[in-house]
Amino acid sequence: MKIIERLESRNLVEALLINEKLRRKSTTDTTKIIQEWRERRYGESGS
Amino acid sequence: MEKVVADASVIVKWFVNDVYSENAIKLRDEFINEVEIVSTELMSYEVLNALKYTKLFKKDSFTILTRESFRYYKLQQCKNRAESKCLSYQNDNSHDHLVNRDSTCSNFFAFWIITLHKLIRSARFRDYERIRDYPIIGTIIWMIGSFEIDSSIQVVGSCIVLYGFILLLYNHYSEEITDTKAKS
Repeated sequence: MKIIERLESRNLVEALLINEKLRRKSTTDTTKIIQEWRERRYGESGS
Repeated sequence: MEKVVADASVIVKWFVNDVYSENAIKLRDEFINEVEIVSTELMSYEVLNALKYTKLFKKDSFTILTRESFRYYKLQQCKNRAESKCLSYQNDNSHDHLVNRDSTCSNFFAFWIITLHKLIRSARFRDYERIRDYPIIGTIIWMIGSFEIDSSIQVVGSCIVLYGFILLLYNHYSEEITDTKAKS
């Protein structure tokens, strides 16, 4: 169990490192991209 | 550990510097020690799709991001929409990243049903026993929808109520017209 926990925490650290390394500055609004995708998929109500 | 429901638009901001991405990163930092993030099953697809459409990542970096960074976070996923909504209602309003848009929708329907009920009660009922059942059945279905937190069931209930209400009005006015014709 301890080994699994250690590995999981290591994974989280790795995830954070990669996340920080790959973060880019966006020119387009990502929220709008998701909103438009949802509108296309579910209609304007979004549900 | 406290559970927080996060929308895909928040998780995307972990990987992209955007408006309010500072708040999203704050949530990520909290997620490591203090809170547990819960999301819908579709969240991962929505996030990766949005990242793809930003066209900021090359194919290699995108696969690394998908396979290692995103997967390693191991965000807890809700089994259904109702579970995620229940959790989002349980959370405090202080978390402005919560998904809570359906609460306004439910309040609107509740207001609508109450207004309809008042109107129906004020109308003449004695001759329209069958039609009177429509709003009652509709309200019951709507209530089932609100318990299950499923807006589609609520919509069906509301439609039945509306249908009954239209029939009631139609019968009411058609009888009035026949009465005035008979009198004349």
